[in-house]
Amino acid sequence: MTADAIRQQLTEIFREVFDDPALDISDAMTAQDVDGWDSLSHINMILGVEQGFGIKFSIKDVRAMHNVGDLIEAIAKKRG
Amino acid sequence: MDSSREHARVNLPRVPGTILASLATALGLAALVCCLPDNPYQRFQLVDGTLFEPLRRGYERIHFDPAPVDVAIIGPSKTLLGLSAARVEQGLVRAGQPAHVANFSVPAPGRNVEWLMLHELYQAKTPKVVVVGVFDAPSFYGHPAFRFVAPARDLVVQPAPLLHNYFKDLAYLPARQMLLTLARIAPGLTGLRVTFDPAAYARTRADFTSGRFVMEGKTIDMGLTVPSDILARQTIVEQKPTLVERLTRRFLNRGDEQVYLDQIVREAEAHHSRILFVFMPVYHRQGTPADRAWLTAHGTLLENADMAEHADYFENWEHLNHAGAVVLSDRVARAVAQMTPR
Amino acid sequence: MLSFTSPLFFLALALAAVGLYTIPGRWRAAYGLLLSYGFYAMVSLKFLGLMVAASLLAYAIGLGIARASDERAKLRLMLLGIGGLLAGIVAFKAGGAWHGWLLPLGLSYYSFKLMSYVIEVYWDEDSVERDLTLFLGYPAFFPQIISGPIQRSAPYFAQMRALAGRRLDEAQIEQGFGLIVTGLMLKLLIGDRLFTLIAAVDAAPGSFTRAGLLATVAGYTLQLYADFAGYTRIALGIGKMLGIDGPPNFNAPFLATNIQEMWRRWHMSLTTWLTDYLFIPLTMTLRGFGLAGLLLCILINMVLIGVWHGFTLNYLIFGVMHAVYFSLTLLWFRYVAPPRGRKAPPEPRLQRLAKTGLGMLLTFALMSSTQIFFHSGTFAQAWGIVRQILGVLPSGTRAIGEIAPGASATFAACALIAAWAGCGAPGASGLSARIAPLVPRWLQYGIGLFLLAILTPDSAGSFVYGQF
Repeated sequence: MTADAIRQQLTEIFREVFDDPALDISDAMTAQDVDGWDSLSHINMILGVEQGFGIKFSIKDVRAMHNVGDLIEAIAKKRG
Repeated sequence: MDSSREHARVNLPRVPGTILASLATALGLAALVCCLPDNPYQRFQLVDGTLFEPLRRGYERIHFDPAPVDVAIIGPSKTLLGLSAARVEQGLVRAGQPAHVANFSVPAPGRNVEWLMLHELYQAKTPKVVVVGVFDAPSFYGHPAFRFVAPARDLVVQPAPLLHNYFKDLAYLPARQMLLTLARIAPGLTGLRVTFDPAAYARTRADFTSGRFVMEGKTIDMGLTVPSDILARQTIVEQKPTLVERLTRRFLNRGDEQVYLDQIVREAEAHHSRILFVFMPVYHRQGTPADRAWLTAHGTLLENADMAEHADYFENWEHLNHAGAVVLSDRVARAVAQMTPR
Repeated sequence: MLSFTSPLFFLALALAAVGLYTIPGRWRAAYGLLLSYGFYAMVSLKFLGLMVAASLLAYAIGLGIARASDERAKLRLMLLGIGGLLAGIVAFKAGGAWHGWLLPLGLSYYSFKLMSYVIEVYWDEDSVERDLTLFLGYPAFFPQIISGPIQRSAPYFAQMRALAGRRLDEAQIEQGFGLIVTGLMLKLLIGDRLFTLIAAVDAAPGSFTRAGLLATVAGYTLQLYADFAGYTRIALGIGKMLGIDGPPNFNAPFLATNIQEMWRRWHMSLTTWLTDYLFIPLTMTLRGFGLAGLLLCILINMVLIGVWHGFTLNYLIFGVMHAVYFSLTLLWFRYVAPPRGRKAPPEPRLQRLAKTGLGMLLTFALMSSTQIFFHSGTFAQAWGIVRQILGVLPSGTRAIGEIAPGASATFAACALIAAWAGCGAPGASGLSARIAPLVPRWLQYGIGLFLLAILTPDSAGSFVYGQF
């Protein structure tokens, strides 16, 4: 899966989880940059990504992700 | 990388200067504050409300009570509970030598504060006999109240170098002088009186040989007789000196007991007072005073070894009760009567 | 016993530091280890053995994980390490609370450090540390052994490695000295003074008025902050003087406008540890259970923060109360009053200030309510105070001012200073810089030390309030 395709699908997931149809994501984006990102939405986001891309994250993977760019890389690695 | 290895040694010109300057400033200012004068009466009130309140009362007895002091008793709680000034007075009257007796003992061992009370006494009164309580396990440490009541000079310059409490006591001095300076300027803020209050003086307990009172949270009933088996079971607390303490005692000073007992004797002899050393009985212990020869050389020694087996004289393993105090006070009165010329 | 507030300790520290500055860089790790082990040995040789054993266990586990070939072996080793270290903590905490055992110095702190190391190596083999001398110094690092902060292994190893090859940073040493001076002032002049006054109320709370008791409860929080933040400052300052920058424990906690934010600002080295190694993995594991799962994670996390301090009912209640407050805050911000988004129009200044002020006060009040249990020695004492505040138990007539001459003024002054310090001490560094031309830094520190000399409450405090 290409990075752009991932980014597209990820944006849909983010818009759904954070209830913001106008939300755009960027590689450098972190939790601070998104309104309403708390522990619960963080878990929902992880769940949404796992279900949307058909992958499973381990704690190790989650630890390594500091921003959206890292997340995209992780998804790409999992999807092969 | 190689050059940084060579420079792994550190060259610090500035920072030690800053740190040393700070420390020097603090020490200098603290030393200045230690020189601030204080009102001795307020100084002695620092122990009000604590275990050591007898010191304040002792000061008042010396400076505000016009009655003379002919016989002064000094010592730790053993003599506070074990000797009754009134009873000794009665004994002296019976012997045909009436005299005023005052007990300046204070709880907790520590000769330095006992010497201080004697020193204070000689400034206003002329006792002819000084009664000193002695025992066989003297304390190496100074008295915990010394740093509250001693004049600054006596805290800074002591008869022997590096006595055990020296630095600890000195550390409190700057704070104390600040507090006492504040007390002179605004006594109401600190609760330290400037003028003598006869009512407070009368209220403060003077006689600990009878009745019931609270000491260190425990209620003590001097009228009780404690069964001998309970007395026998009470722990004998003996402090083992640490290595540092042993070394200090060997090479620098002989410990609070020896140093200040020496000072007490000097003070008494300088004022031509006679000394009566009273060996305070301890239940079921046939102790002997540490320096028998030295004691008998400087005064009379009253041994009381026979009292050690009388359980009915003791309130706890090392303190007499009322019955014991009466017996001991009578003996002291007889000894004092024999010592003083008619 | 060398306490961080005794002048004798600082004398020894000065000598030790000079030693560190003058020896060749490659010996610094060994020298530091010797200092830390020497320090610990003066407290207890037996427990030093325990710490060494725990350290060697973690070291070996780390090597084992790095060398292991498959995932299952790594996991087993990691669990073995964590299990062993946790067992040690639990055994001594339980023994301490239920049998009166003596707790090994710094057990919680060095065990947590070692556990974090093991987990880090499990997550990333490159975190492994093969240099034994360097490694052993990590859990034992004496400035952090008594009361933390809990530093992570990576920054510690990196800094120690750097120390081997470079000069010590002068600015860092001076910062360290400054931290020690201000830390001592905060702990001794404010914290210990407040403690003496609070202890007088604790001895007989029923004799005081309700207002006095409420003030005292607020005092619990302020005193704990002054004491712990002051102590952490001293620890960090000592570390800095020895070339190691540690993690902060406090970040102006009284500025927090809600409980969640407060926990991001209070005892940070512990809360970040629990977040990284417990909360996040737990939420990941329970992610299928949605909100219920999250609330359970919060409960477990908070209860552990509580009982980490000791296995007593009061600490447990403390944890549960925080779990409840934290959960309610989460739910509030999610469902009732979500915070205004970035894109929303800015709200009027007065409204914003009012909300901030109210938030700060409410957070402080909630924190103080939990402090009733954290501070009190027994459940009966804490529950008695709660009932007295609620009016169920009668209050007395004594005011705080009656404890001793000047008590109310002292209490008010110390409380204000503690509150100001807990808000980040606004204005302090600015003022210090502004007066620097007239009053240079060394003079400022000197005056600070002088104030310590004349204002430190003596152990006379314990005599003054004694009953005769």
